[in-house]
Amino acid sequence: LGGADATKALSMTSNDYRPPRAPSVPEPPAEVIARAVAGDTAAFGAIVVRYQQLVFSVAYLVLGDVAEAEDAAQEAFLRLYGALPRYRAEAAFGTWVFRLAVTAALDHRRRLVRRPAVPHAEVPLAVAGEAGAEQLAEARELLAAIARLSPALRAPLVLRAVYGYEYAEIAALLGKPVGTVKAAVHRARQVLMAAQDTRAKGEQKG
Amino acid sequence: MNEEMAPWRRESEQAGAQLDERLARLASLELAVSDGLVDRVLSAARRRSGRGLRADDLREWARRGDTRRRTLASSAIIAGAAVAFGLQARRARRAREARAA
Repeated sequence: LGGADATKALSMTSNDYRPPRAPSVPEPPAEVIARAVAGDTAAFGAIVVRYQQLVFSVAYLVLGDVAEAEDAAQEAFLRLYGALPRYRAEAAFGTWVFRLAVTAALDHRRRLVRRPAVPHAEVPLAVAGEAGAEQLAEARELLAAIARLSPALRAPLVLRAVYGYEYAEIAALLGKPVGTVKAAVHRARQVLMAAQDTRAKGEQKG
Repeated sequence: MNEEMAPWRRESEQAGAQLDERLARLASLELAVSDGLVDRVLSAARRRSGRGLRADDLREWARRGDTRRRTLASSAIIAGAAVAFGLQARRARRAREARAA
């Protein structure tokens, strides 16, 4: 499924579609959006600063690699820059950015399938969203386990289990049959549960 | 039979639910981005606005060790050198022709 197709798949849903667990970032002031739409680079920079962690986090979860996620995040923002003149204020800006982040990450992933990336062990630090150090360590372990999944399992799992997309939406985004998506999510959960089990046994021994 | 399987099944379901909770929590996790992302985006946006490929972009990609872009940058530098070499050769030929005339 090409980039345009992935975008089309998302636009088949409501213009303001937001999956159940899409992260929420406070919207920039309407005046900043208006200036960015009018071509003000400084205002666009303020928007990038505001959404960079969200966009990078989506890309990292889908791609499992810091360098590739940065490239996908950059691409997402460039698409945003190109699409700004078409932005209509009736759609939530953050939802729009999130959708662009998802489609840019999926399109980048498709290019990587043709040019496999060298697996990267680095896991980025979390800066928000988790309370304690224990939860943070647990999240990093889970991020590393997700990064080790094959791309064919990782993207369906992330879209379904992290962001709460419906199977049919994931199937449309990935250009795969719903049954294939369900099987991939099931398999990915099995792999992660096995890793969780190994970790629990290790803690019992320790 | 079902009753014998129940404890195993219960454990498995608990582990599954625990995993689902941990995965759902990742949605609100914001990961730290490298400092240069904003600059990279803005300079790329300016390039797309028609300002063209700049030497500092090539240097930045080389510094970051971005292999793919470094290759592109090297290609651009080689292409630039080839064009410069071609121009120089053409100028020299014209000078020779002018002298001969």
